[in-house]
Amino acid sequence: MIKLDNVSKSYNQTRVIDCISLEILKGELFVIIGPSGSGKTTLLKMINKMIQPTTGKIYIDGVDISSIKGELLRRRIGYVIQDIGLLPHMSVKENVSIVPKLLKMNKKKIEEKVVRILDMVGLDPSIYLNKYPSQLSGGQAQRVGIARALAADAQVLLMDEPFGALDPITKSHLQNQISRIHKKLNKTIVFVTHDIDEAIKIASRIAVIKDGRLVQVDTPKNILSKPKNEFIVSFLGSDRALKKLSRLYVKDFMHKADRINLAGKDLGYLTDAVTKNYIWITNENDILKGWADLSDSDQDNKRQVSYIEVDYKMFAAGVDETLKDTVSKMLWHSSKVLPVCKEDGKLIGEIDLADIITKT
Amino acid sequence: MISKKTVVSGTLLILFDIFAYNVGLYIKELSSSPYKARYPASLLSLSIEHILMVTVATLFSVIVGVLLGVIATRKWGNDFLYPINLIASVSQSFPPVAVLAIAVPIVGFGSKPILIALFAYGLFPIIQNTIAGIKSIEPSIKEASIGMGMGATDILVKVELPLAAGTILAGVKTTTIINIGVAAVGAVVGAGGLGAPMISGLIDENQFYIAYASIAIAFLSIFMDSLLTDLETIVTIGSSRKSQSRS
Repeated sequence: MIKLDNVSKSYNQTRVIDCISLEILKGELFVIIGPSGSGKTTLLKMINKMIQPTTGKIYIDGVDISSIKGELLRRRIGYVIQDIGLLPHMSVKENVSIVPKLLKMNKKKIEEKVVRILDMVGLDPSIYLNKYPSQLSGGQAQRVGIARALAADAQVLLMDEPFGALDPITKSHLQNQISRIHKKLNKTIVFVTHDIDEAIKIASRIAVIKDGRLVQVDTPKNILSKPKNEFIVSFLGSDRALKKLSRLYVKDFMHKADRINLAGKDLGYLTDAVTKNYIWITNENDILKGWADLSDSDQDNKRQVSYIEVDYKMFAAGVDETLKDTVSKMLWHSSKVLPVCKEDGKLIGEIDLADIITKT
Repeated sequence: MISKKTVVSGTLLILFDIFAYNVGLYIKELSSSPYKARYPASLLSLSIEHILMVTVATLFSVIVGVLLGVIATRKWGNDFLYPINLIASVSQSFPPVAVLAIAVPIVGFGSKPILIALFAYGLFPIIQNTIAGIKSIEPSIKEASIGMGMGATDILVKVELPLAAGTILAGVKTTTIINIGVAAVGAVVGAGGLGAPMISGLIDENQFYIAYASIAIAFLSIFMDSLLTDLETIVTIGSSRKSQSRS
């Protein structure tokens, strides 16, 4: 989709980009990461010709972009920046329709599109269509920024630290949103950031650059498990093992859980079937109610126990939760095993710390 | 959105223009002054002449000033920034009377020399404010505009000028108000306007004429200032939003 062939950029003898060659595949969410001054923004801006490479060539869909007029190229590539840059004298609707208008799309079609895209980025069109940028919060403004980049059906999206200035909660929401949009629309996204957690969370592949050179290009998993050199290790931080867990999900590590269905009755006697020293207790609808500790009870075949009630919302792991969150919950509850519940509390399995340690 | 101030000052101007002579005649009777209490031309037509003169000169200043300001803020026009600023400040530093003295031998008597003087005198605030207005636009707005694929003309017309409009209009207001006062000098070279009764009053020592002209000019200034402020409010509804903080 996007191919950089031996691209370099110098400003008065200083090389900011040094012979970078890489290929970004169609439908990838490709993250370029590096410390400040590493040239990541320069690299991004060369893809839409806002900066011209000194040497080397860039191809999009096999076409050398130096043969395309910058403005025309940029209308086909979505562009989102950290400072958003909404035009303050235009309403949300006008801001989002800028590129479609430049492309001379049909007026009615533009209107439909604006409504649809605002919906997609999580802004209610009936509320936001006629608002002005100054009436929006930072998160809302960046949602409009993303909508604006998507409005002209660009196949490629360039994002330059788009969530760098947002608070952690909004940031996390928008990261999830961009992952969803990426999957749904199958766009090729090139995303620049200096936040390694962000990169690991959303990337299909990550390119680490330092001083204008590529250090490593690989999937988040491989970068975490096989960092190429000391620089990447230090960049990943000492908690890289935990970071790795943020890309792994409970559903891939859970297994079946034994349970006793109360079905309205009091907890009675256990049967031989129970082999572990604990058991999950559920109600008639299979909703997690608590757990019974069997370690202290006598070894009779029929053991009478009472159980400890828990709130599944606090205690259980979710199916789509990351292992990082689950391990955190285990530490919090001082438990090596946690039940796995659906959103409505239905018990569907359990997850064991031992599995996480051995299988990741 | 015409403000109360504009309506009141406009009404006062017109009422004064219509009834000033009647009041003058009454005062003359009381004081038995030997001077004429009625100027040969109507104050209303003189005021209109005055406004026209100022408007035409300001319009030319705006066209040339905005153009020069835009050139100075282009990437390729950066070299012109200094000479343009120089021209503007030199034209401001020339007293209008000196410009008249130079212009009369070239273009003759009448309204032409004062139009030239007003044009030159009014250039400075407009050029300055155009440059300031365009330069004060947040860099991220320009970057996003370029990144979306807007051409240089699109950016100028749809982004820079609308966002700088408020600041430019403030310059136009300054120019207009200065010019209303300066235009009175034009009467010495036969330009007409409210300067005419003032000059002849000064020559004949006729206080009536001087009072008519100065009061009318004062009302005119207040009226134009208020009218342009209204216009500024209307134009900057959009761009004033940029100053509100977004957090």
